[in-house]
Amino acid sequence: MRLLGAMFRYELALQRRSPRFRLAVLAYVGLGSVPAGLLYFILRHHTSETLGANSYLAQTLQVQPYLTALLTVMIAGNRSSVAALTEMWSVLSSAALSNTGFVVRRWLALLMLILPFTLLPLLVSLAFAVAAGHTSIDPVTWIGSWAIRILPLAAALSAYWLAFVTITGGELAALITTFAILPMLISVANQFLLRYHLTVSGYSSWFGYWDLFMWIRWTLASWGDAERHRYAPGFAATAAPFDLAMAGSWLIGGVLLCGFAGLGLGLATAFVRRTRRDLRPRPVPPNHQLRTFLHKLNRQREIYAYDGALGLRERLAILLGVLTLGLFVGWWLYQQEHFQHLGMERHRIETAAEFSPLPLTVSPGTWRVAGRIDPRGGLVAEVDATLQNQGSGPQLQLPFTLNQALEVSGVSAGARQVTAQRAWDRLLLTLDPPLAPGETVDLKFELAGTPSEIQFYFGRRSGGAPFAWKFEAAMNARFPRDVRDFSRSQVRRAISGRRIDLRASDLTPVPRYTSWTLTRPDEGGGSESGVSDYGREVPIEVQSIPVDLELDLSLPSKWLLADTCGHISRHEGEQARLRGSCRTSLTELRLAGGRLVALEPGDAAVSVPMDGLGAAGASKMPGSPATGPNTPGKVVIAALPAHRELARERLGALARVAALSDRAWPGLPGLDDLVVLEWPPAFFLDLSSGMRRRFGEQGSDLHGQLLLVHEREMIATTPFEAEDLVAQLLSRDLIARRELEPEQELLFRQFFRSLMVRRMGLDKGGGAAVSAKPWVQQALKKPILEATLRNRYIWRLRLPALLVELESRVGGEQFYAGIESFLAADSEQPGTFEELLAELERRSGVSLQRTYEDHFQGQALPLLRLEDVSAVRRDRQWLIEGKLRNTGTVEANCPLIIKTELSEMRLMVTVDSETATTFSVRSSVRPHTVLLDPEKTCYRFLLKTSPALERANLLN
Amino acid sequence: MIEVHNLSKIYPDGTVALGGLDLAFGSGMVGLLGPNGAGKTTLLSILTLAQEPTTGERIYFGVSDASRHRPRIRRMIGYLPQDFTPVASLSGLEYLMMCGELRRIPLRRRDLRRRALALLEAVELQHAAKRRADTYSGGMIRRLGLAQSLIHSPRFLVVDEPTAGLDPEERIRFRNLITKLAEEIPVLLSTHIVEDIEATCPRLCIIAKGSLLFDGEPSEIMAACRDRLWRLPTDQPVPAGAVKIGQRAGERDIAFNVLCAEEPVAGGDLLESTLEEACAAFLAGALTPEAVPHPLAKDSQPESLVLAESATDEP
Repeated sequence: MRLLGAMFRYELALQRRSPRFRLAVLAYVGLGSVPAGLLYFILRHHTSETLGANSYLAQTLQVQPYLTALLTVMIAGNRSSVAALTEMWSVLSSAALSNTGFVVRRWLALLMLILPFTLLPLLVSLAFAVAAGHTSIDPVTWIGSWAIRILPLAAALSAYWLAFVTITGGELAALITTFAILPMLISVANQFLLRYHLTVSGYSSWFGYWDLFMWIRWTLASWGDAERHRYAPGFAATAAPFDLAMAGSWLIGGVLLCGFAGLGLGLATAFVRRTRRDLRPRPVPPNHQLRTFLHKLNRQREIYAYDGALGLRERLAILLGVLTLGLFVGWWLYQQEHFQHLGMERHRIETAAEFSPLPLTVSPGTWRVAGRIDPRGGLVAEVDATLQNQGSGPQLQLPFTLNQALEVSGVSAGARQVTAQRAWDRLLLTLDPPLAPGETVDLKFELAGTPSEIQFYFGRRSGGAPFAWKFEAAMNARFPRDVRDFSRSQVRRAISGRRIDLRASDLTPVPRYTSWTLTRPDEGGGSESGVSDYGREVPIEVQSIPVDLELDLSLPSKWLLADTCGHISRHEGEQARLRGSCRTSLTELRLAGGRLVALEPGDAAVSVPMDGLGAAGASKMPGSPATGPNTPGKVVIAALPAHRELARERLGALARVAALSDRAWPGLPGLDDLVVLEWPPAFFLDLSSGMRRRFGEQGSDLHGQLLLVHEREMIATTPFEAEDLVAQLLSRDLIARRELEPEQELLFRQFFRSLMVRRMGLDKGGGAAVSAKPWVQQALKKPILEATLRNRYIWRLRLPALLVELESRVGGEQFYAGIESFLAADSEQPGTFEELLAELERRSGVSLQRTYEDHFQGQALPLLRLEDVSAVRRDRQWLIEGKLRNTGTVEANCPLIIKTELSEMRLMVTVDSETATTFSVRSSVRPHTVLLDPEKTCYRFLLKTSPALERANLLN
Repeated sequence: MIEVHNLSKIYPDGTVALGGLDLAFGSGMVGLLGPNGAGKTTLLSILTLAQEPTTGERIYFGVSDASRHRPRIRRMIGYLPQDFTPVASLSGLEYLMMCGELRRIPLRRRDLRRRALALLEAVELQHAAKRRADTYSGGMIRRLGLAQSLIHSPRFLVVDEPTAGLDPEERIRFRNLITKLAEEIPVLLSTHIVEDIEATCPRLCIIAKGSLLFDGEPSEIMAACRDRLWRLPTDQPVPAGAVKIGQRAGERDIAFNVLCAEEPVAGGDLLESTLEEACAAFLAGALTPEAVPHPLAKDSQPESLVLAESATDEP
């Protein structure tokens, strides 16, 4: 230690007198402070988010890794220090210090020198955060971020650079080694690894140049008008607790650098050139034609010969270096193999479609889940469930979906013999004897594990392609660049200190009714021959069959948990506990929570002036007296501790929601029994990317009685987007009025959501015309009845447009009365959309059968344009002629408006797909314009790029 | 006692730097003399463990040079290299402290500082202790080098060309310093400058072409030259059997040749030899083996060396 102290003192003395060191440190602290400074002085005035202390941290971390790398290289390779110590070596060679002792202590001394400087940008950032008024600092996030992102980088890179400068004898040679020789070796290794479907990402994978590029781009873009860049990631960072385990997975990107650093440090102990080895002579004949070259070769041989008389320490250091490399390569290989193996398992089961789904005649009865959640994300649960066979034949097998990370440690089926078969997230129970018609089976499961989702790494450019396709592409790669480094995959735990996000299949086996066969959700499913596999994925469960659910979950006392039934956890002794029962579909069951704090009753009362809300809110809060979780008319709001004040102000908009709901459809319950949780993103350190807005994404998600308000929405300074929330709430309430066909529940929900938005007058004004980029056409053609929740274009564009056409054709009053009538129908059969259309037909006398066939069952998408429109004066009259061409896929019936100097005429034109209909009209007044459906009551696709096709000017 | 036995060193390009050399020294100052390329620096670097020999054995006060003994041996060595350069950005005192600490001297910092200051005083650098080393003169740098080689109290000292390039005053000062040191520990002084050896070394080793040619007292080699050095005007030809070993300036600055010959030289006068001339005569091969009391490696005595011109070179 004493010697290390001396090494550090002299390293500091040598470095601080060198201009290079001073410049490097100055640049590091200066440039490292720029992001936080920019945020403080400029960007925070241009952002539409409420920033927090972590925002300053996040900004600093965008550049600090790169700067740390630069600083480390500048200091570790500083000629002043290296040369001084090299010169000293001639005298130090007589020091009783081993090569290993010298190299290792020099590295540690360098590290002791560098690390304090790496704290400076963060301290500056912290100062800016405090100056901006953010006094709520989470030290775990700050220290954890530094410990994960900066410390390992500085340690590995300083070792690497010191080692390679020592071995090669100079920075230039080290640079050549780093940027030419090693990449070449990696490239060769990747060629070799290709046959094993492995690839090494290279030691630069720790940095993520793309992220830096994007940060610079968005920073520059956001300098001006923030509103123009509403899809920008913004500058805010999540205030959710730091999840060290998840953040630690980032370290896998540095295996190669760490491995090389360890090996280099070991080898460097043999290359300090303290005792020159005796080399076997290779004399060059004086007349040899290559004598000059051979002499130079001899010289290089001497320069790069390892030292002589290596001691035990040096040999051990080299061995340790090799072991370090082996350890890191082993870790990488293990991760690669592990995730590749998991990927293969998932791919195999997805493409094999081994298990058949359950027929709808086997319906679930009661479902009781009792379990315990531990602070590390583990879950132990016991599930008691009943299934009844209401069909006509016996049921031998019962397929379920269950999180792949949950193990079934025990399963029983009453008196029946049961064998369980597991494959990825599928569980198949085989009953002996089979479940006879009319019989009920009592199932009991014992589950244990850490429910999680595996985020397979497919690289930045893989986009939204489905897993099976991407995995196949990676495994069948013909070139190393197409192989994927699966070691960088992540296990995203459903339960973490950051947030709890549990689906039913993360808690219990969920009966599977929808086929697991890969389909193409945007193209209408099926497995047509000759069609590329791209886009095929396992369909999500579409059946929403209600069960009588009982939940009893205990969890750490600092956590809060709520479910879609409106239950919320309460303190019970040392733990928190969520208990309750309700009737809900397992498909829709969701539990969410985290380290959230519930607002005080008074806070909620201020923000949400609804009857009984204030006082009643207390009944569901952790620690408050239990009065039953389902007391009607109550709202609980819980937010991240840092956003407590913000939530109080922000969710005041819920009051506006109540008013809007009355306007949209009077008499619906609205916000009663709602649990509102702030919802942080799942990402760990990439604090801003989780906040990115995408098309169709909402600021909040409603799952039954559980409203998840995204953190992004919570911190936005723009008004709270309550409209969609109202629409979702009302849609949910309308659906609750009548039992609907389970397969069509999603359609009804989305239809009513669009209806509510329109009723509130908040639709985008596009009417029945869908205005979008040309490439959206394909997605819009999908039959609505086959669309899943992911088909955002269907639900956000197509369905609202069709609704306008329906309303236009049926007539406003008849339309709403028809819906009321449909919902109020006293029928034993679940309601279907066909039935709704029939009711509308009956009331209005307008046939809607073709509409149902074309749009809900078929792939219709009319694409209309006016052609050859002309006006000719003949016999004191004007003859207006033209064609309406339909290049789309279904017959369209659209109005044309002919505007004259005095009035306008309306003409309905029917045009079949891939044809043109000629129209002609006479007018005594001079016409000047022909317009295609200006009120947009006719459903069609409107090309944004060619608005001229909608209008013909006759005056020219 | 430091001993080397059968020490040889062949460089990768085939150059034989040392060829089976034996040497032992245990006290006082030993002067190592030899022309350029004789193998002096190679011998010193091998002795200070900076280089591995091709063959041979090194023994330091009874300790062999096995890898496991190296730290122990390094503690024994004090070394002032030929191209000694201190760390420019440190002061003399800081530099000495650094050397002391890195050599793990078991002293507290305060005591180490005291020792460094004492050493600086001993090498007459106390006035420049806090000056940056890059402001030192050549002589001061050598003295600082000497101080660093002594900071850890070595058991022997190896000094390579310490007075080269120094002015006479500095040379004398430096010679005095190492003479004083040699009273306490053995010192191996490698140099070109015979005058330094004459003034300081009771023992002389002459090395050429990697072989030790002479190991004895300087007076012995001077005695061998007695009655063999002749003065001959420069305009007279060098007679057969005589070897010209240099020139001297005589009265009124008229130069004359110094010849070495067994037999009297016609027209020449006998001269009293200096050590430099005696060494030159020896290296030039002008002295018969019988003339030298303790000659070594007689067979490898060179026929012609840089320091002397053979008579056969004369036209």
